[in-house]
Amino acid sequence: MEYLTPITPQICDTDFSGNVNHVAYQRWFDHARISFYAQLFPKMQTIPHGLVTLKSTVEYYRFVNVLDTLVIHSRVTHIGTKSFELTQELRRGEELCAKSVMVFCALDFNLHKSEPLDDFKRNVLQKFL
Amino acid sequence: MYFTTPLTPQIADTDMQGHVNFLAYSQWFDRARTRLYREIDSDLNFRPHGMVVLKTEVVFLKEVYVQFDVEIRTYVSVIGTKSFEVTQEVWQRGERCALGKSIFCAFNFESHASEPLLENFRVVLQRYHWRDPELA
Repeated sequence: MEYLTPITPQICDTDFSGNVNHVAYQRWFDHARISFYAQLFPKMQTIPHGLVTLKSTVEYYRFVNVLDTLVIHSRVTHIGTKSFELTQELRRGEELCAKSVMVFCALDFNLHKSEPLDDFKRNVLQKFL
Repeated sequence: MYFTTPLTPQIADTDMQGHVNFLAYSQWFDRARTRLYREIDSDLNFRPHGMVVLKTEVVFLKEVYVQFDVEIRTYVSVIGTKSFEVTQEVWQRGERCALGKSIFCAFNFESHASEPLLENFRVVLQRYHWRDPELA
């Protein structure tokens, strides 16, 4: 099941090319992850058992401008023992404008070591597969 | 050879987990690339001959903290016919904390089409063409 996040571009997202700057896409993808995090972490308590980002890849397919109507489609594409992968697509209607793939790892912030995903997180992640 | 850009992390770069948020790295990389852009076009005009980002990738190796300055190392790792790859590294306290790669393509903003890299691009890209032997 994927979840959808509408995105409203702002003037501050653009650069002198007249298009949205690529760094803004990454902020939007991060914004779209908030509701996802809220389900993984009730009350957003991420200490001591939180997540760290291991890798982030974004591919840019089309220019986006400030008047576009955009939606980010997010879904979990892989669940491992300690890590999982989240794939997000920025779409303008049926057009795919950009795609983000991120790998996260569960981390104990007291020990500064990775740890297995607990059952609660695993159940949440399964919902978004 | 690479060039270095010293940066001082700000509180605004951190998040509720106590370290620098990964989005800050993208902004730092973009800021560090400004030197490359200026050497190609000192007015940062890029009209009509500019470039667009095709792909970015960041691998996170160690947490980065706000208490210590960082150094961004920037170099050109691949030069193609139309595209090139810029590799950037975040260093803090003598350790490599993150590795970023960005692929750019030469783009003509009048014809709205990709084009071969012009000579003024190539000269600058060659200047910083390098491979980190530790990453080879």
